[in-house]
Amino acid sequence: MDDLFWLGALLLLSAAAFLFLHLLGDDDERRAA
Amino acid sequence: MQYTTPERWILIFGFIGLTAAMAKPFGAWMFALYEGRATFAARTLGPVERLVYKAGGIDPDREQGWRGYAAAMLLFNIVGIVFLYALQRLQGFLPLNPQGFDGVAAPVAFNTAVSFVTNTNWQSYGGETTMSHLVQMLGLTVQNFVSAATGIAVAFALIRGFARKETNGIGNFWADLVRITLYLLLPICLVYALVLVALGVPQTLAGSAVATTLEGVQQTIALGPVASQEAIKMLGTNGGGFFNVNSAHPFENPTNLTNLLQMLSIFALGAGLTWTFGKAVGNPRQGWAILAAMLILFAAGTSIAYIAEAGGNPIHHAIGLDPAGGNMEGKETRFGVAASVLFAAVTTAASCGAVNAMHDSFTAIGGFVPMFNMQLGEVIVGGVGAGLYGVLLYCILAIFVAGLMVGRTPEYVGKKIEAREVKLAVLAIAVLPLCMLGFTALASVLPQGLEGVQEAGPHGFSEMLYAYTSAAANNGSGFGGLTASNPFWAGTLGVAMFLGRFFIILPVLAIAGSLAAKKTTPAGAGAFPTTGALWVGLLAGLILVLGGLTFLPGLALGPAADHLAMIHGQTF
Repeated sequence: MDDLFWLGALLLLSAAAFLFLHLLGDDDERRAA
Repeated sequence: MQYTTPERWILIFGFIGLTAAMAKPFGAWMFALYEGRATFAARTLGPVERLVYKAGGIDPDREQGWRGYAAAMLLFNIVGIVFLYALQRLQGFLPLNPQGFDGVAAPVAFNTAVSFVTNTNWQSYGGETTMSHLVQMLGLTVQNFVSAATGIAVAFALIRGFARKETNGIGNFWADLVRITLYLLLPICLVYALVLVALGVPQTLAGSAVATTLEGVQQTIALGPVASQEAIKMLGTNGGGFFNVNSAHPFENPTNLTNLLQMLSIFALGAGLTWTFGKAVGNPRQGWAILAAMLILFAAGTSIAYIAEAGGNPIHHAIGLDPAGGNMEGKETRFGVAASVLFAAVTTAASCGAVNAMHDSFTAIGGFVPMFNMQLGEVIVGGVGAGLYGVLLYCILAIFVAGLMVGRTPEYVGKKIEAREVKLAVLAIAVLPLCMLGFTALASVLPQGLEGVQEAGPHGFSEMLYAYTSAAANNGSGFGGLTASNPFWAGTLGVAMFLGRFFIILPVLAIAGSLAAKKTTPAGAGAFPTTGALWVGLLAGLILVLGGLTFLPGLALGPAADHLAMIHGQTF
């Protein structure tokens, strides 16, 4: 149960990081367009 | 200035001179790697490099855009966190565990996994009483190498952004990672570890030794593969010690010579990268100017801390302690005040986090300097790679400010700095204060946060602020007195470390991509010069003012109030 919680937290952090990367990339593309 | 001595000042300023002297040789070594040229280590380790590429299906010559580079970096690091977490949880079932340790508690395993992967190396556990040799070697030491290599790789990518023109490629993350690890970190650490062994640092797979003391009591002395971890701990600005008391332990740092070597090795690569940057953009003076700004800030902070620690604590003097001894609480008598202060300044300026004295026991002003070094964003030499890309963010802001003053489009090393770069730089710089101050505010009002704090009054607040400052800045040093192993502290510090690492790296790589796509324009007559004293002053001033304004309220509640209480003899 403990492992699920902490690995879940890591999953959320990772998802947030990839979302951040995606958003920075979107801005890049908008600028290029 | 009372109780400071000329020979101690020589130690401090001699060390600064040695740091400047290291910049070119280490910078040239890294420049060869940056360019992908073969170094002497490639002749021996070339087959290993090719084997890694073959096993991983990597084409090292394939250029990645900034998003590809960032995705590879993120993926590699997240897998590293999961692997390290699993290794700690399962250590009870795995070999090389002579002390028979059980699996590490889940919150501590999470905290430690994030900590070592992000190059923070905050330790909410005692190494010799918690981690098996397997975890220390296969988990922690491996991450010491690859987290340092990740930082340098990101710095390389940003340098390419400045140095290249009209291209999408900023390098290949996998090739950078492998080459930096094999051809820079491993060879230096191999020699460095052997030197440490020769100077008295243990390197053994034995669990511990049992000795009989003079009183006839049996004492268990922890041992292990210390030298190998020690070498990369310093060179890679990781800072996670084999022993709980880190470099204050005589097995980690036996003599004044090892102490000096450790301090120099913390700064070696960070200082070198400034030279690499200058060389890559075609003018080494650009690198020297950055290093000069860093060393001016370092000299100022270290001097303030030394004066404060040599002056000692008036509360101690009032009860009869010799004031000439300075503040020796929490310091090793082997090193004394100056070498302890210098180590504290180096380790916090460089995002290392190793300690040879307990920062919690410094005077309020002596403890303020290490904290402020970190709050400035770890850009005073800084972590390996992280220091350079951090200071280049400030360079972007400084040239933007200079551009506003002279009324021209800002240009830095031949690149026009436009709205996107400035916005990304501000975004990256804002991450640290948000994490440091936001989490400290949260811990100050929640019972789960307050239960970890040992001291009452402003010093207790400093302990909390220091912890989140250290975590978000990926430093890892601790103000003692804080018990940070409960789930609240372990979790929030882990989150701060993650955000402080990757939410800065991502905008940095976006800047690299944006700059690489631009044309390079030769500096015109009206361009703001970025190699002279004016630029050095502007850069150092901007770093100081930005940090000062952001953290002044927090520092007033902690170290400033603590200092005022101390000089009025008030204890809590």
